[in-house]
Amino acid sequence: MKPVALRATVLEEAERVIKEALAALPAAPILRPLRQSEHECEDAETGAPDGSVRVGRGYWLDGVDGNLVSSCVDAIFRYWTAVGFRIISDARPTVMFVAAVDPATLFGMSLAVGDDGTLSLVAFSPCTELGEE
Amino acid sequence: MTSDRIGGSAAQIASAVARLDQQHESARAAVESLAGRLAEILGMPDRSAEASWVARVQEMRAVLLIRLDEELGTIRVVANREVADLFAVLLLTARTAARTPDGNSDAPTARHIRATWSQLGEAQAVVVREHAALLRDCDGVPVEVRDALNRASLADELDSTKKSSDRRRLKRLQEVIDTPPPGCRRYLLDYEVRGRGRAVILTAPEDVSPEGAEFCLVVVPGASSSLRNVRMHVVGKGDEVLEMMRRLSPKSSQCVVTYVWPSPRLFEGLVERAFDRSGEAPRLRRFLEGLGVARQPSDSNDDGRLITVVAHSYGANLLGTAARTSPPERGLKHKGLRRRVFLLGSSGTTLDRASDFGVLGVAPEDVYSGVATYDPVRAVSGALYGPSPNSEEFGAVRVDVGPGTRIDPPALGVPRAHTLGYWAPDSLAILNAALIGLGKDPIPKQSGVGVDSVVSRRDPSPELT
Repeated sequence: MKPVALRATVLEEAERVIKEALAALPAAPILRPLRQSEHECEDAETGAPDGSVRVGRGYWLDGVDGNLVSSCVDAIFRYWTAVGFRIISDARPTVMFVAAVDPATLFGMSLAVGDDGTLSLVAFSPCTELGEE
Repeated sequence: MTSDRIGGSAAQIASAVARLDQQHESARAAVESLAGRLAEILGMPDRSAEASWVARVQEMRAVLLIRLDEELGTIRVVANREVADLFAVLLLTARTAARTPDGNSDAPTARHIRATWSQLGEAQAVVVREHAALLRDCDGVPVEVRDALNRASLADELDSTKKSSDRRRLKRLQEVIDTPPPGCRRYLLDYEVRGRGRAVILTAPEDVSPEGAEFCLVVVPGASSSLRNVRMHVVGKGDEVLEMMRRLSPKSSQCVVTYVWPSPRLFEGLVERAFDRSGEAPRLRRFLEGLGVARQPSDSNDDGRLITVVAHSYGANLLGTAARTSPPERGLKHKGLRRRVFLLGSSGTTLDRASDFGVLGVAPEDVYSGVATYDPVRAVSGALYGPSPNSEEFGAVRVDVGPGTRIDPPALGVPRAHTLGYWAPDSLAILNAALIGLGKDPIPKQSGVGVDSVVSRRDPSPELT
């Protein structure tokens, strides 16, 4: 079972995995907030204690040249594979969407490309019992 | 008196009030003109009228205008009240029909409510003031009106409720509507604290009109859905799908409704006809009808609107029951509006085939179904509530929702935790719900896109295999 974690620690970890993934992109996007969530997990979702929550952070990646969008997806896919993340979804070519989980921390991430070429990157924590700050 | 006649009378009186307004203006103008003319005549040099006569005319003018305003004002108040009361009768009839399994077939439809509401003129304000309790959950009433009334009612109820468990649930609801995702707004369309409680919440980006979005998706959760776990459903399901829709199609406009209803618990739902008796099915059907009425494109060339219902687990039983018990003459077909259904982790809908959703305005090719490999509903699928939605005979388009999450060890040889994995962020189920909700083709069954995952009861951290 995951130990009780501080909210600030979980948030820091979410921001850290996003920052590291961004460093792998062949572009330097401008970040615009997309997700800032915290919600309790489904009762039976992980067998986690009552009140366990999942914390999420996500950003639109603005300002990426249209020609680089596809390379960004390839680059992040390579990065996740290289650092040992497990790919949990690769929906290409139906839709440009890839998702992975870090088996060490159980943080998940996904990169999507909208039908207009807009990129978005989201990270979320596993179901975690948050302790008092 | 039939609903048609009541609605017709309300509209006629409202229209008469509007005409009265015009006549009132004309009468005022006539008095002004007459007084002006008299003053002009009296003030002519060759008539040399005394100043007191001019003053007398001015006085008469003022008295006439005051009396005119008073008389017509009284008529207007009485007429508007009459209109509001007639409309309240319609609201009450509609409410009763929405809560009765064999509802009154003469009850006003959401379309009828909407049409009458739009003709009420200034009586709308009287209805809002005097019949808020009937108006706030009535399908067909504009979303923004319902939201304002429900928020006011919630604030009042929070002030007056003493029972601590009710207060806790109401506070939870307040928190949910006060904390939309970044850049989004929530609209409270209905709520109830009684029993297990309910809440119907629409979430849309701030720059999207709640009734104008091209794509609107309704999440109907499964077993044990209630006001107690409203946050889990709205944030953990509705918001997840909305976010995925926004990510996949940032330039189109979307909204998501999370329909948190008092669902039977797992074993309560096994009772025969549990979903018929609850009275929930007609309520859902009316809600979907109202959503369609509100979203009918005003431009006849605009045929791109889509409403998709994602019905999970018992949510699919409810949706199926809504279709099976729907009066056939009250189909949910609206010009320029398409409807889709996505049955997720469903063991059955009480319908024989996908085409039976036609009564809800859904074409057979727009019925989708998916069940995870490890979802234990597979064990009872087709046994209790009609054919499995994932069977060939049912005829839904089968989509990939991944293998789901297995819990080890199994109980009595059956994998445990019936709903695992569908609503985890970035799941294939959410991805496909978003694709279907955007009118796109979903990822088909056995695509191999998703991978296996296992949760051990001894160590509940997901372990990917």
